[in-house]
Amino acid sequence: MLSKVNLRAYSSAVKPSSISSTLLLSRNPVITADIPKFEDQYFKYQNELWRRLMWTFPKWFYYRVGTLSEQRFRELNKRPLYNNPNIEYPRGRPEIRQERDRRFKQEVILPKTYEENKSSEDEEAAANTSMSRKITPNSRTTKADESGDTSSLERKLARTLYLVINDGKSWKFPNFSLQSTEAVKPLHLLAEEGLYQIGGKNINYFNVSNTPCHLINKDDSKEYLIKSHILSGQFVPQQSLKFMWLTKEELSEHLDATYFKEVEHLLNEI
Amino acid sequence: MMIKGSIRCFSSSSRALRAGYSTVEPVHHLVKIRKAALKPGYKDLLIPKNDIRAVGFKPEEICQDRVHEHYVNTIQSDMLLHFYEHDAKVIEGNKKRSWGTDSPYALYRNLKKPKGLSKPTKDIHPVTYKNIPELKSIVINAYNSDALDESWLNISTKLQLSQITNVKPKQLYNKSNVLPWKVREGKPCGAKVELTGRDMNQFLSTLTELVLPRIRTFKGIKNTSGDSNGNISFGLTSEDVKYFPEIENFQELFPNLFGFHITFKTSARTDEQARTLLSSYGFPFYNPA
Amino acid sequence: MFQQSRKVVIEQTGVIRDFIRHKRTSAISPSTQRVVNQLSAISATRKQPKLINLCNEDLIKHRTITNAWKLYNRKKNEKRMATLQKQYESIKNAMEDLKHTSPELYEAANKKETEKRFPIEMRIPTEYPPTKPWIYEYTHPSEKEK
Repeated sequence: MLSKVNLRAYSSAVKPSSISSTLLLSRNPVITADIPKFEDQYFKYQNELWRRLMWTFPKWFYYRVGTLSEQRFRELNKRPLYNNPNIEYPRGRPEIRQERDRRFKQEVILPKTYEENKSSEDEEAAANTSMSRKITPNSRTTKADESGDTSSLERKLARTLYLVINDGKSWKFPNFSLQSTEAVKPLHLLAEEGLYQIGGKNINYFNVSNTPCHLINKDDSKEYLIKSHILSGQFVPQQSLKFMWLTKEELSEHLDATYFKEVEHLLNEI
Repeated sequence: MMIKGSIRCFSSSSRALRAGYSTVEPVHHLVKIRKAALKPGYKDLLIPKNDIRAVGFKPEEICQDRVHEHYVNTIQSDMLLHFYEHDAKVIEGNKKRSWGTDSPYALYRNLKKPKGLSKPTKDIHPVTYKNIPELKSIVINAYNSDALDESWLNISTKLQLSQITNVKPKQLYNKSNVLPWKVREGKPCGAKVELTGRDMNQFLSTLTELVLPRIRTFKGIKNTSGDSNGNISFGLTSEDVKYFPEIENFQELFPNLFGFHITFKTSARTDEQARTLLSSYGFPFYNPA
Repeated sequence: MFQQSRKVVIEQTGVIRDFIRHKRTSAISPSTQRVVNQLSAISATRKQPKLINLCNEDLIKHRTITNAWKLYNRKKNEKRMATLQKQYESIKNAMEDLKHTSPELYEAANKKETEKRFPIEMRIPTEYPPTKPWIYEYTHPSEKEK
C-alpha cells in the first residue's frame, strides 16, 4: 500500500498530504423550531376554522347515560341556550342538535384525570407512579441558554449546532490531513479517527455518507467536507483545544467570511 | 307551399337573415347532457374542496407539523448525500417490446411481454435534488374475514380505523368468489383508509413513539418487505392495536379489535431507498431468519 | 309511567329510593345497542355543524390570508430547493475533483452502502424537551472492552 501511495505521488500532481478531510459534525434539533409570528397566527386561524367545522362530540358513545363519569361530564359542560319559540333572539335563533348549537364551535371540557390544588410534594410522589398525573412540560430554554455556555450541547435546542474548534489562530471546523506516510484512508474514516483523537472516543456519532459533501479548493490543498451527526456522548477536548457548538448565524460571526460563504449552503437554517 | 319554398331558395341572403335560423350545424341532439346534474341545488358541489365555501371544506394546516419539519430540515439533505452516486446512469426497467415493423399484422398488435418477466418495470433514475425519496401516503387496510359471517363487524372495523386515524374509512368489498372461505363477490369485508399530510404524520409519530415501542414481540419491519416499487408494508395484530392511545383508554368501548396492514407509499424507486427513508422516521428493521 | 313504577318500588320495599333516573324501555338487545352506538359515533347524522357563510368582506379577507400563506410557502419551498440544488452541485463537484485527485479515495467515497439505516437515536424533534435534553453517558464499544 505504501509503495502504491508513493507511485501515485509521482503520477499525479497532487500530493496525498495536501488532501484533508473536514468534519461537519452537527447536533440535530431536539425540539421543534420556533416558528415566525405569521405562521403561528395562520395555524391559529386554521385551527379555529377546524374546530368550528368539527362534528359534534359523540358524548353518548364515551359517557354512557347514567354513569358517574357521564354526570361529571355533564357538570363540566353546560347545555347551550335553549331555542325558545316565544323569545326573539337578536343575534340569531339557536340551532340545537345533540346538545350543540351548530352555528358555533363546540367546546368540550373533559374531566381531569388528576386532582387539582395538590401540594407539590404529593405530586412528586405521584409523578413516578400514576399514569394520570398532571403533565407539566419542560422549559424550551435550558440552563446553558441562560448562562450563554457555547460549549454545551444543551444550548439552543431548537436549532442545529455545528462543532467548531480553535487551534490558537482562528475558529474553524475540525480538519484532518492525510499523512503521507500512512496508507490511503477513506475520507470518512480519516475524519472519524481524527475526531476520536481530538475529542475522545466517547462520541456516538452517525456518519451520513462516505461521500464528501463539499470541496474547498485552495492553492496547495484540497479540503473535503464530511457530514455527520452527533447522537449522544460529548466532545471532550484531548489537547488544550477550545471548542464551541454554534448555530448558522453564530458561525457567520466566528468563521472567516470567505470560508463561511463557501460552506453557507451546507448549513441548516434551523 | 312547396312551390313557394323552392322559389325562395334562389335568394341565399334572406334565409340567413331570417330570425331563428343558425348557420352552425346543430349539435344539441348529439351531445348528451344529464339535466338532473344541472340542478341549481348541486351548484355548491362544484366548488373545490379547499375553498372555504365548499361543503367538504376541511382546514389542513391546523398546527406545526414536526414530522414534516424533521424531514425537511434534516432528512432531505442527508438522503441527498447518502444516495449520491457519481456518474450514475438511469437503470432502464424491463419494458414491453414491439413486434417489429416488418409485418403489417404487427402494426396494431398489443405489445410483446417484457423479457423474462410478466410485468413491465419502471426506470430507476439516480437520486438528485429533484427526486429525493419522500413519504407520499400511508394506507391502512383492515381486511376482516370475520365480517363475512357477521356483517356488523364492518361497523366496528370502520370505527376502530376512524378512531386511530381521524379519517373516515372506506368500506372494502370482496372482489372474487372463493366458496370455502365464504367469500362472495360484493360482500363487505373490512375497511381501508389512506392518510396524507398531517393525518399521516400524526399517525406516523403515534406509531413510532407510542405504539411500536410497547409491543414486546415487535422486532421491526422485515428487510424483505416491499413491492419492489418503493412501497413498504407490515402488519399489526389485534393484540398490538390496543396500544393506540385512542383505544387503550377506552377499552370497554372496543370489545372487538382487529389487526391491519400498514403500507407506506413512498416516492422512492427501490425498496432499499424506501427502507432508508422509513428508518429516518424511527422504524427499526430486521433480517428475518 | 315513571311515577307509577316509583310507587311500586316504595310499596314493595317501604323505602323511598331516588336512584331511578331513567326508565329504559328499549326493545333491542344490549349488544345490538352497542353496534348502534358504534355506528352513531362514525356517522354524520345530526352531528354536522352549519356551513360557514362568510360575508363578502370576510371572504376577501380569508382569500387574502390564504394567498399570503401560499406565497409564503412557495418562497420557502423555492429557497429550500435552491439550497438542495447547491448542495447537490457541491457534492458533484467534490466527487468530480476527487476522481482526478485520488482514484483510491474516489472509489472509497463512491462505494454503495447497502442496508444503511438512520439510527434510532436520531429522533423527531418534540415540542418540549425531555427531562434530560442530552445523553452524555456513552462509551465507545472499543473502550468498554478495556
